[in-house]
Amino acid sequence: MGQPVMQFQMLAKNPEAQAAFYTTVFSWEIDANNALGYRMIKTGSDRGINGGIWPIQPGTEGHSMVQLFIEVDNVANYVEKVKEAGGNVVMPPQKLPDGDEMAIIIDPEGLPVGLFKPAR
Amino acid sequence: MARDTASMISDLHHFAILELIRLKDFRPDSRWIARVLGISTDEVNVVLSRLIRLDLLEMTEPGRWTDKSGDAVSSVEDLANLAVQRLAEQVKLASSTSHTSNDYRYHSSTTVAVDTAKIDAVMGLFRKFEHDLSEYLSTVDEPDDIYQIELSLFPITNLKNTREQ
Repeated sequence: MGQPVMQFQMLAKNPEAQAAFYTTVFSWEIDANNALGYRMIKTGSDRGINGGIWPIQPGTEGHSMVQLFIEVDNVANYVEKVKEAGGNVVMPPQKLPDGDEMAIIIDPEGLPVGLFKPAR
Repeated sequence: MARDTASMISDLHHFAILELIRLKDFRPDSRWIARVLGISTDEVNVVLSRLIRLDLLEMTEPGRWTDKSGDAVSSVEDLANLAVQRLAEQVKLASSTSHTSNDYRYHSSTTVAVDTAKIDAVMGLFRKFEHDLSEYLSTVDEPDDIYQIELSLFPITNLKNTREQ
């Protein structure tokens, strides 16, 4: 099974404009019809991975960036492994309204990375 | 974290969302929260992210969110001094408070879930407090300064309208 990178996430100060840019240029589809209003991205291809867009507050939450999400079978266990290996936890494991479980960690280089377990 | 804290104490929506969670008809849905508070879903999600990072909110099950702030009243008061400058600007009192020590000013703000049937009684308590305070202050023989006292109580959601629709 492994622990594959299954999703990317854009953190955007203007998520609406960000979505409009990628739908216009690359014909990506955006679906925000879910409990969090999360803009899920479908790239329109069977190859590669899909993603999403999450808002950040302009001026107070740093700069826009892309995060990778690694699928794991137990988010809490991998959060502990991250800490033991010198990483930090920004967002402890949460169970999202759609049933997915996720956490955000910071690797030793300072990169924020998502861990998630899909609801299935 | 410092930026998260500063943002949190200067934005009532953080406390409003934590209080919404305590309502029996709360829906763990950013779109519903946005409608109730009259803000965008993106604004709700920015606040949710911050509350989770600050360990004030936990999504424990898919349909259940947990307020981990404990007593929101004490949280606000503990953080109030950090928000004084922002609050002062908002009520246009910056010039009169910026050089005043904490010994001579008091700010308190509480966002709390309420039973609206009690609002009339709360108004009565406010009126009694105003009367008692006015009587106490009027006993001073020689006033040497002028202070502003403000009491406010108002809904910060659209829940009433949402229910009526």
